[in-house]
Amino acid sequence: MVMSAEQTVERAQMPAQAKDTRPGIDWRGRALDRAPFLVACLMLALIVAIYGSLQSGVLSLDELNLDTAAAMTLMLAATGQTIVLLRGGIDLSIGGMISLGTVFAATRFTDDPSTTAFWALAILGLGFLIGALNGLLISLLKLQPFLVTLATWSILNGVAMIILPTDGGSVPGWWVGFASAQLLGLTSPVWMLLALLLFWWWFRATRAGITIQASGSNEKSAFLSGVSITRVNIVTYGLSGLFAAGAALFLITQTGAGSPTIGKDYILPSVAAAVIGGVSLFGGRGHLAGTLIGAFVLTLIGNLVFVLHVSSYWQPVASGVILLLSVLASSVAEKAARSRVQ
Amino acid sequence: MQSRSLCAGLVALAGFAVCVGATSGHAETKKTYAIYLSNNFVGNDWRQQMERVANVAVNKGPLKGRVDLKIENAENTVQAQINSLNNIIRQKPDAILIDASSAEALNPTIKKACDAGIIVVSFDQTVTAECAYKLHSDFDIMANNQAEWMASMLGGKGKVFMDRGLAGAPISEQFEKNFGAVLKKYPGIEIVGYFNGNYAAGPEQEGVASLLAAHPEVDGIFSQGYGTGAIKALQNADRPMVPVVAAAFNGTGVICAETKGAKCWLGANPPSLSAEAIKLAVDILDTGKKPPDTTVLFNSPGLTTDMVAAKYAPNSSAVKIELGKTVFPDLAPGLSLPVSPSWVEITPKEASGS
Repeated sequence: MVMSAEQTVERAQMPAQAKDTRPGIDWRGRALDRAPFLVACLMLALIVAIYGSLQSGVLSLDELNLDTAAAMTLMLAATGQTIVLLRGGIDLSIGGMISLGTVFAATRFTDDPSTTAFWALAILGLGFLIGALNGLLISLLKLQPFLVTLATWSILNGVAMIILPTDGGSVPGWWVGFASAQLLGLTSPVWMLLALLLFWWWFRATRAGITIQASGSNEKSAFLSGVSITRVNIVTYGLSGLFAAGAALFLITQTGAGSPTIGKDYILPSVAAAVIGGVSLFGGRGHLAGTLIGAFVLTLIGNLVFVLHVSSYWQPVASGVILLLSVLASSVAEKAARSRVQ
Repeated sequence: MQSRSLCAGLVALAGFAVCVGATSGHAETKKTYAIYLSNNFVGNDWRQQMERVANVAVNKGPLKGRVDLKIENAENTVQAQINSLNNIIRQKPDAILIDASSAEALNPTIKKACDAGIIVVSFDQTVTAECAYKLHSDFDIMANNQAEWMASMLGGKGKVFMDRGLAGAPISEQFEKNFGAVLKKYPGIEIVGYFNGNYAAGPEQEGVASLLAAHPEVDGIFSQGYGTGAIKALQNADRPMVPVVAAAFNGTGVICAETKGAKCWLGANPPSLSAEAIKLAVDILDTGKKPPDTTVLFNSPGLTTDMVAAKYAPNSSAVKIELGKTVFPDLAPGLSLPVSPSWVEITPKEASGS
């Protein structure tokens, strides 16, 4: 049976529409459905409240600018991870891609803007290609995403080490300056944050966005409605690689240098940010806004621990507790969703 | 508004009075500086001792009451240390001391600190930012003195084993190169075998043992690590003790002191670099005078069983290995020596935290 593109989209959209238009709507189910996201918002509000009571000027543009810059690398990495999680997979290779991206940038960027622009685009393209390769391998070899991306992480890490064995290299001053460039009082990371939300608003309604989410929610039925799983995987992991490359390009505005090992610090936090934001590890459910809030939560915990004057080892403890609470909220919502389907 | 500034004035006055009261014995009242120490890793003995010594050094001796020291540990990631530094910069301290997670990646953040008028002293794992001071041990001089001592002990003639450290580590190459440069001056000394000690006692013992099988008549051993593995290997092979150069750990010093016939020179990279960094920052803040070069090399005295004359580098010194005085059998073997800078008395117990 061959289906047209429109038909595929319609079929894939059906569950979502059905949920919204069904008479006598199950408000309780819907509230539970959004519970993980609401829990994340609550946590962020709580952290900001405590932080604000201890530190002056927390509710200011300066604070927003500073914290968004601190969180942006994680946000970009977590955006890609969110897309993969929605598909029901996981991408560990972003660690290698981020390292490789910073290494390429630090060794290839020059003061000449056109050379630098070329390499920036090349790094983004490389990110998409490597990600697409991940997706292709997962489909062709029918392997676990965890294993395939673990392997590519290792390979990318090795290549990064070969190109730049220790931290070093440099990027032009104006590239570093990008992160503090201002427009209407907001620095570029804040504009990037808004751009990410806009991207998501657009992306989730596109055919790719819908099919990724649909095949993450139920791969078999997505396949039966004519979705090419291979193509979905290529796009999903390709986008993840693209965002990881973007994370690398932003990260070097913060570090000013390349590092062959720096990427590993974003792998698990990117998953944690998504989970805290209510993205389901089982695919199909979640929203980028949640992930971005999760990234803010993880970043602000560090600030909170700092102003509380407690040992900085409380930061991983607090992150862990918050992660547990979020998983709990997700699992409650998951169960509610499942019981509604049955 | 007026009442608030009046309040602030009163508080400041009260603070001043307290300061004057506390230091009434001194001719002048010296300022207390807010200093942060940003450390990225506490997973080894050295870093823990480094933090303990920093805390002790600001509570006694010349720095007592001069520094309000806060230590921030960033959990071993660059991003965490950047975020932590950003938080620190917002507190507008007088100085920030950094044991860095990356020589390069903190530079833009450090530049922000400098631009805010904060003195930045990186130490141990230093950074390359132009505006930051870089305080670390002078490993060239350390290796030079170790090799000159060995040459003097051997009378310029003999067969030695050479530790290559950890394959690919820049510090290992630096030591090997410096050892080699000195030995070139003594054609009678021949390197008969190389091993990779990996800065651990096990691999060192293994490496020396297998070299001993081929070259039992060795006259001296260069270790970049503990040196205890080399001594054990000699004992296991029933060989007489030969001069050994190694790093200044308490355990090594104790074995050198207690083993009959052992001859050692231990080069020191002391964790009290943290205290030296604090002192450097306070000196700059007090006098407003900056060192001519941002790189400040620290040359700690070596520890040795045999104080022989040799062509040591200028301004070098050594102390004798003596049980209970310079090495401490009742304290942890992982304690780095010497425990105290010369300008303040930090006890071995304070340094080891026991």
